[in-house]
Amino acid sequence: MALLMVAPFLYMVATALLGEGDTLRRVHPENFAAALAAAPFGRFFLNSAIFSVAVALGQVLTSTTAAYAFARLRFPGRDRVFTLYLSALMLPVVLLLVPRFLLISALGWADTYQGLISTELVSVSGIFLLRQFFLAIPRDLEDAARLEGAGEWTVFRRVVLPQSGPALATLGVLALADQWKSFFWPLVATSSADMQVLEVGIARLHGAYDLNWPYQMAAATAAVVPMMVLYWVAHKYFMRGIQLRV
Amino acid sequence: MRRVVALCLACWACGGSREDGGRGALALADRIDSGAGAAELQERLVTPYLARHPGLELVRQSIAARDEYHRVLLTSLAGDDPPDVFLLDAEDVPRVVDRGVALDLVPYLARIGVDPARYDPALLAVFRRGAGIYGLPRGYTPVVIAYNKDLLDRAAVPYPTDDWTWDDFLRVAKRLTRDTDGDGSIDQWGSAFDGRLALWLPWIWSGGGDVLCADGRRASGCLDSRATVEALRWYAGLATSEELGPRIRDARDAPGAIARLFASGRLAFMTTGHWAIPGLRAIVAAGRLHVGFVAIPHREGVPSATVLYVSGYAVPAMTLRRKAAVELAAELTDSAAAAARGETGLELPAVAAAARAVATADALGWDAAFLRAAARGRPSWSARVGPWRDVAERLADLMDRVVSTHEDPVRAAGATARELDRLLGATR
Amino acid sequence: MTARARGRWAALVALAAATLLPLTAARRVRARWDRGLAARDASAAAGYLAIVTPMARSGGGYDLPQLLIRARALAGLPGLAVDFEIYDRTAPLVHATAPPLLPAVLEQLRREVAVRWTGEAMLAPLLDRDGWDVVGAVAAQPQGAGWPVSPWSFAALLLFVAAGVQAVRAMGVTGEPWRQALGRYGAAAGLFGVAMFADVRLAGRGATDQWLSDARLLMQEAMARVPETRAAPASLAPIARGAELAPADSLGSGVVRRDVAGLVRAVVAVRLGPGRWVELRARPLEAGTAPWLAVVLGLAALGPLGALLAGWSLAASPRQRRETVAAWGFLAPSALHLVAFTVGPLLFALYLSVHRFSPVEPARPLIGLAGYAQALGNPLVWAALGRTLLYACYVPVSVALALALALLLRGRSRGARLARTLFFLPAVSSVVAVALVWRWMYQPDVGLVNHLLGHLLGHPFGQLLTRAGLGRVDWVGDPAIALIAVMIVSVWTQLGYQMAVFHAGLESIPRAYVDAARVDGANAWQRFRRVTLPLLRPVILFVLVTGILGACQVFALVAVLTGGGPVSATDVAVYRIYRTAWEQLQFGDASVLSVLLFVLLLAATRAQLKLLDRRVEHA
Repeated sequence: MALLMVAPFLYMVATALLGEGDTLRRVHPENFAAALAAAPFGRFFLNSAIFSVAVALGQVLTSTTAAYAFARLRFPGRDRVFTLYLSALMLPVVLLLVPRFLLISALGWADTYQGLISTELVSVSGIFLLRQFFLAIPRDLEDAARLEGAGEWTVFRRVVLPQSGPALATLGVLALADQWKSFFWPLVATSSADMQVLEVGIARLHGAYDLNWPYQMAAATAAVVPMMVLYWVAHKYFMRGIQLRV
Repeated sequence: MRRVVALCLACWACGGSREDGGRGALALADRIDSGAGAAELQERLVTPYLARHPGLELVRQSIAARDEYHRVLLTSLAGDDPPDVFLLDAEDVPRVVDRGVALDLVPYLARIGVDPARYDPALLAVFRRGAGIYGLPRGYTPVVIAYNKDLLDRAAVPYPTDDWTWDDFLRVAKRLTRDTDGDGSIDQWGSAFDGRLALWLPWIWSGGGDVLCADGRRASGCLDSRATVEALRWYAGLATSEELGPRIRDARDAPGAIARLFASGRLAFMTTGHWAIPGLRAIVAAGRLHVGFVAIPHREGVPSATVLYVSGYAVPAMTLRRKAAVELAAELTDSAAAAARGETGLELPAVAAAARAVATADALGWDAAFLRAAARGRPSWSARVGPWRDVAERLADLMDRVVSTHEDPVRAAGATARELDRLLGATR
Repeated sequence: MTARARGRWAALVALAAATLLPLTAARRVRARWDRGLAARDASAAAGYLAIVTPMARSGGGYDLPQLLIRARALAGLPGLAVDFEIYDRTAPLVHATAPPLLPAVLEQLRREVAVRWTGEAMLAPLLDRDGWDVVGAVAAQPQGAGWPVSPWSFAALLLFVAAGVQAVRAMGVTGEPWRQALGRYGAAAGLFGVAMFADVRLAGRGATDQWLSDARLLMQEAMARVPETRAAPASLAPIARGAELAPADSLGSGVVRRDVAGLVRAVVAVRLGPGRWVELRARPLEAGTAPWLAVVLGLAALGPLGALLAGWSLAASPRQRRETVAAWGFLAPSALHLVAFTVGPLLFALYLSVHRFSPVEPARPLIGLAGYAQALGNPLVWAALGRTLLYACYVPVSVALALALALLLRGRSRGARLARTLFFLPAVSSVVAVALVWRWMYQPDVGLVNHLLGHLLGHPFGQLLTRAGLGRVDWVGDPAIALIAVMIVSVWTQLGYQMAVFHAGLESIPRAYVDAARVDGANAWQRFRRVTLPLLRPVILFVLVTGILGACQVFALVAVLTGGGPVSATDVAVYRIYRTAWEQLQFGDASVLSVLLFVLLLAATRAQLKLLDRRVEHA
């Protein structure tokens, strides 16, 4: 059964390395080189990296502050505002796609990094996740700091942030993986080949004419490997993210 | 919070209209075909122009994907800041030229020393309305058949000639569809079904049928005529018959799959256009394949015909930079540019002399075959019919239905014809 | 300073901001429109001169004496909204003593051939008759604007300030008087905002009208000087760049607003001769001003808001105040972002859905609910929605499988851990890559799936199937199977993730409960049925709801794996929306479909939550 789950990946790599229809006779590493030369993959990689790292950083930043406010501070209308935030989760992405596209076009940001990144900087599920985390850690230290006359910002920066490294890493890793996989918005927000992220780039490759399956599988491998590596390295963060959400 | 919404909306509103001044640089919108050094080529073509106009700044918006280009072009032409020169595919001509968006170039061509006679008249006609010329054709391709000479040689079949018929095609295709290594499964095919309308339309034409008539205002009487339905049935037969071709039902995968089969020497005939040449040149140069080109076969008793796909450069009527724009458009389509573009092999140059020169220089004789085929070609309906995209979608759907669900072509064509009549009537 | 005085100062500062900011915003808009008017008038004058002035016989520009006469006559025309200066190359013609144009500026005009704001005037290139070479320039200087505010705005302003001052005075008083003062303050702010908006709108209207009547004046001048243009009004079009020329009946002398094909247009009639008229139609500047209402109202609302906050902070405890300020500080980035990129677009999507809106069409008429009626009457839309629901049916299947797997692979052994890791892989890998791989595996002739199926079925049976035409399943090419093929891939990608969620859920169930059941003599099934399942119910609910919501929004997988085909067999809702928006470029229709999908999802989620809630309660 587990083999069944991995089989497609093995098949992908095998096709990329061995070529179409060949039995296990010869290895063609040149497939990779050829496939990667068929399109500006370096550029795709760079775009994907810029996009997902920028968005992940932005989401961590906005989520931490917002989650802290919701979890720790008392202010009028807090629960109502939080419900409003959560209701944003109900909106289908596709509903916002056209207006967001028109918005970034009006700002002159169509087909730029600003346009690509700006709309994604806040993740309500990230806020929710970190709020769960903040609710779970004891607040004694914070109260002690407050008694010593520290301002909210100082408490946040000196007391809360140092404790929440793992939570921030979890969110960062999840956001990174999510954005790397993101396809719909980059497809809409960019048009030139220079701005395409990896996902869009390899999807377009598929439509391109004389590219055979081994090439496509090589491209797919190239797209999957970074995430696999991330998963391997940051395995526990993925699982912690799931625990926090349940 | 409300303030921010309002500000955003306001930004959107003011972004749409630009009251004071505008962009100071000449803007060129172009579609750069992917691969084959097309981007470098464009760079090379505009460099001398820029060198002769010091201080001129050129803003280029280059997009590779056809749909994407179509969208970006039409959006920017509808906006307040259109490009000064733009690549215009024949299928966008109705939308752009018939609405008066493009500038009539006739008064200016003589001034910059361009004789419109240098362009192939059939191609120029796509951009003509009355006495006006609203675009300068850049390049084109007819739809032709590529054949694998090795397979034909091996089976001792003579190479096809331009006057071959459907029966000849079928006979050879059947003969070449074989199991060469005797393992019980067929591994070499005569033909392959390609579900792309752009490629099957010429087959309908060479069967004596057509999908629209009356200058593109009607489909009934043509799409549901006997000749068309027969041609549809015949073409769909290429998809469903096991003894002719591989089963590639999915139109989206067909282009790649067919090209790969052909490139690997397992397919004898492939319907294609000039865009296939850069790839095939490389394969042939490596000695892996011998390839010839020939016109699409026709039905016995019907003149052979094919479709021409054309693109050119146009200038919007409202640009203030007429001089720079017209000069650039002319330069991008002059014989030097045509020759350079001919070298890359992506398309045939629209400058007739340059096309002939390219054909003469081509030792393989491919371009000569393309030119012979083009002589019997006419531009696609897309160059005349405004709502062509909608029409094309329904036609593709028709072929899909005939092939995938085995719907009766007579009934399916009749239904589609009625639908198209409504569509074409409604838009007028 | 006491807290009270501080609060009052703050409220006064807010009042000042609330009066000055809308005034500044309105002023800037008007200044921009004045410049826009100057730009259009400059272009019109350049077009006019090109029509009426003969070219020099020796070539190289206009006949200078003639140009001089025409230019001076033009500048002397009564009723024009701007002051003109015409340059022949760099030499000023209207005011002989005016400084000449800098050669560098002319050079820039030659190069850019664009209208430019020089700091005090709009400079338009003067082109030769054919619109070919730049031979000079036309400068148009907007005449000084009149009063910065209209009388009624000024009255509203006074009222606003009075109400504001009163409110500041009432500050610190709790109860009715304070509330009343605040109410009056708010109302006055609304009034002020509306008045300012009316100013902005009227300025836009005025600028449009002025431009059109200037253009008409120049066209009539041109016809008087070059009679042959009467016969060919299209040759006059360069005078009114940006306006549309259409044959018309007499309209009277004023500029009117009229509906032209669903769009409001400012229209003015130009008399060509007895009984012959054309009309100039242009998009009125005030047509795009609706957002300004929100802007000025929002800016004016700063005053009452400031007073409200100041009043509240007087009443609140210091700690409460501090936390509230801090909280909003912490929330600001995400709140602003949500407003700008979620709430705004949401409202805009609703706006789009009641308009016929295409980015390539200038006409965007309001069609009300017709778009919804059309979508609901379209069988293809229903088919796509139905297909989406059908597709979402894979979720219960994968949830059941995932639950079973999670129970199976519960242990802490190396094998179980490795298996869980491997199962999770599809969830972290790129969707497009996964779709490509499966597409390759689904190939009927050479793909892995059919290959394995052949082996699995064994030789005799497989051959039998082949003979029956079933041996080689054309997974993504056969309309009857394609959707199932997509569902299989979806199960494959989702299984590991869902299993991990269940695993986390199982881990969080205290062992004591299960052990207690065991002590009571419950067998494995009973323990699962009576203990684990009820405790796991919220998790199941979570996975099911999020899974179905996600499934209803599937896009990337379908786009790459099948492209909605074959014969629309996998044309699910979001894919259809995508094609409506980005292939057919019908943003309005796409928004209608998105809103419908949203409503459907909302209803489905609520129904599902209710259903499961009840079960949870009963359990």
